Amino acid sequence: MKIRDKLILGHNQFFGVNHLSSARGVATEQYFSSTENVISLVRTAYRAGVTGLMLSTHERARAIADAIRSDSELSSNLHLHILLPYMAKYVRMANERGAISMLEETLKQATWTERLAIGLKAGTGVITKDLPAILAALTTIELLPFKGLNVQSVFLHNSLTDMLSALRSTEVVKFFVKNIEEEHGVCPAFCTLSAGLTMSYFREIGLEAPVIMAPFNPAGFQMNPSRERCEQLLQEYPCHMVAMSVLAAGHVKPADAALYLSSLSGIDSIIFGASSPGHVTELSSVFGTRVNQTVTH
Amino acid sequence: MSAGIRCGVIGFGKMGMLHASLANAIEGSRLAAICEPNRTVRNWFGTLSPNVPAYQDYADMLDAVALDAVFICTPPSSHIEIATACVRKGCHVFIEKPVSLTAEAAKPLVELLKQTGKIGMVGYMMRYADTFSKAREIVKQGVLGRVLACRGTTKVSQNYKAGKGWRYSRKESGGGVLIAQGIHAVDLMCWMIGTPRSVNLRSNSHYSGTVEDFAQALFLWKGDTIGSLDSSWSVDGHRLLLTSLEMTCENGTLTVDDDTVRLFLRKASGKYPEGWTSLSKPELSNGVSADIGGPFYTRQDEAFLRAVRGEGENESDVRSAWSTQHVIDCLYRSADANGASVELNNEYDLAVR
Repeated sequence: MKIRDKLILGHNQFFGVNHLSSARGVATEQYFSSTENVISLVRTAYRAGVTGLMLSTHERARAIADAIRSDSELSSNLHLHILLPYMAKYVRMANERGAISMLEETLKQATWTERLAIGLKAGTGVITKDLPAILAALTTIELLPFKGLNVQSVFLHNSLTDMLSALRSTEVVKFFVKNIEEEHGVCPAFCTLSAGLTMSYFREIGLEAPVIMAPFNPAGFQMNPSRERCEQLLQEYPCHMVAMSVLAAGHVKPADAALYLSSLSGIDSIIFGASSPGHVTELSSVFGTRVNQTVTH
Repeated sequence: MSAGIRCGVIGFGKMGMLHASLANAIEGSRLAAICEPNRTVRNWFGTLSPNVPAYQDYADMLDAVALDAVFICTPPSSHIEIATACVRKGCHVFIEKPVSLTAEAAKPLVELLKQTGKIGMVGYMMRYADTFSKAREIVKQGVLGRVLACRGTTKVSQNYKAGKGWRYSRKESGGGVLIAQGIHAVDLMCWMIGTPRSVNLRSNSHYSGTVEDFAQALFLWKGDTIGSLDSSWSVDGHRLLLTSLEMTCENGTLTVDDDTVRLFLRKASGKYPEGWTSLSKPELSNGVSADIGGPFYTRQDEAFLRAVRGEGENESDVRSAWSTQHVIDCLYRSADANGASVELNNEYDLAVR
């Protein structure tokens, strides 16, 4: 399985994440607290050729998903890529209650729809003892808001991908792939901020042509362990690469980023953030030209 | 992979998972065992890492597995007892912050580490963040002249109700937002300016009930440098923790947060010109072996493991954490006395000894 979208709109701006300025992130989040503003930007992006949208399972994702559902153009054509889990929520809950209580309570608090979806009839004890069963149940719950939409892939959050790669948790990595493919019928994918580690490990365990989202930018920002090693692995390991952090948190000019990305073979898609219609139009034009975009309307 | 530093992790919660992953990802070390009292979590770990043994009791782990270094990620009330046992078994120790509930409780460990020569590091990871380490370098170079006033902030939208577990028990955690998050800003101030000579603290526990949610502190250093800290985990609009310092100095101002260092100089000094200089994270960062939760954690663990091999400085040792802990003790003493000024004991001033 692979991702067909050459250009994907990222979601960080909607949820207050800005790696160059936290203050700017807060200001942007205020603007996008209006779902109408979010949808307006998504629509502009789509019409400029950005056929994919990444969404984390943030609390506000449900409202955004509902708004997409009620928009005939976007609901039929826009491809969604879901990033899960929404780590900040689980970290906060784990801080408040401890990891076990957090998972037990998440499952206990599941609505009837969610319980039905995960087949949770009896207590939560059996599920919480079995890590793959927990992952499967939480994945199902987190994907419910996007039911009926054009979901193309599910990305595992970089914190988990990188932890699994570091601990060499082959069983769990392979379970994630199988579960997303077989239970949800979409493309399993991995976000990583440790591309060197993750790609080497995936190659070692024989994961064939996985979809990976990792930073690629001329500044080498977040390209771990080094820009050279990430570029080398991109050449050596056949995978479907979605380039992220392409503007190095605003440190790199779009034209320079596009030039760099076009010099690499092996980048299948580009994901970028934008906070205004003008910005998204400019970036889609710059990146669209460089990746020889084939819009999959 | 049998060579390298054999690492153990005690307490497989959020921080335990992080250090276990890093110990396995950093070249020249590997995860050799974990200890976690909760059986369900041990079962999960068995799925994650089937070849690494998991123990219920740390003493059993230390008896059964030959370890070179141990990451201690348990609630703070147990740090000293566990660290002492590890060092007596011949292990180097990394202890998550705070080192202990009080500085007094950590004193025997400071002595034991001195006697044995073992490495003891405490998890003040902000010292390894690109922006804060650059800020300290600028301050220590003397480009700004003497620091006259320092304002620290930590804020995050995290806690709006009473929680369960050790974090909400002052007996087990030592306190609330000050010791959990504000302590990083306090440690950075001590690292950059020195140990203060007196402190005041006002706090309230509006949401948690048992530990403080809002903490506002004042600091006075030698030479009349003054400072303040505003710390809360119940502030709206901050999904991620923001830590920042603003230092007004004789020759200008330095502001630093997780993303940027901004420097304003009235007169050019060293390699920095007159006026504004801004250095952002992408400009300052270098690659790390793996980024799991933030590159500063990796740099911190790499520094610990290098120090274990005898190849580098231990920038965040137990002794400096002991000194920071004394500042925190005095702040809590001040809050208990309705914000009265509390003088610090000279014994804890790293510059004095």
